[in-house]
Amino acid sequence: MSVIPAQASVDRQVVAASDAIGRLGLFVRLAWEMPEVMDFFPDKGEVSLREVDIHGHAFYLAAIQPEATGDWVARPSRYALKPGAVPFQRAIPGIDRVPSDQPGWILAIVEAFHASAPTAVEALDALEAALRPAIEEAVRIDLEEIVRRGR
Amino acid sequence: MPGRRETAYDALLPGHGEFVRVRISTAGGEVVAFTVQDETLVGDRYVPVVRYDAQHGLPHRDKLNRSGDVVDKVWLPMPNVDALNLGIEDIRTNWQRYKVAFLGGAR
Repeated sequence: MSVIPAQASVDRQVVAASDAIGRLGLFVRLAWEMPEVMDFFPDKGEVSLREVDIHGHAFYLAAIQPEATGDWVARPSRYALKPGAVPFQRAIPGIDRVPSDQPGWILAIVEAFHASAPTAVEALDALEAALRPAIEEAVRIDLEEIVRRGR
Repeated sequence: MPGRRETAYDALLPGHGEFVRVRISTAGGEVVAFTVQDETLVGDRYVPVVRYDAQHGLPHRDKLNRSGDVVDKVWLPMPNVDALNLGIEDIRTNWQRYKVAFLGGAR
């Protein structure tokens, strides 16, 4: 018996597919916008991309499988501050740079955070698991500092 | 060409049996050649549905049929990088429409 998916499910899949193409466009633009960041990624392969929002700090994670039989390797590829989010006030733990959307900081996080796994989802999950605590800790320290100054 | 770099990335779209493939050649921060191609699964193989590239010296968009023949060509008199961005945005927005037209076309 075949099951016809509900329209809402189909709509979500269409949006997810369109979003995936948008993320692919953002990723490949590194080739001419920030080629030094692209140096950390294989030049060829299947790519799977994920946007992670941590308190308004958006990280664009890229997992690439250079060869069909190899592991997927995941790294952050871009960073953006969402509208209304509070910019980082200091460097995040382990990285000696104040976060920004400039290539220097992107390079620092690309170098500092990476993961590999047999599947794209596992590689992206592992990368997110490494990145999220560092960012949440930085946000927590910033908020404590803001509260302390306000007293 | 010195400093020329070739990148080739394929992304499988979630849940749709659809691949988007991007090939870019850059040199000195310029896009010197590119291809953006949307492919759909027909039977057991992926076949191109719509393609943006800069072959023949000028960027253009090709729509294809199931035999791989170009059934529509639109020239894009603009820099490669603009045509590449346009191609990605057009496929992001219209991939479903292209697919429906492709699958509804002559076999």
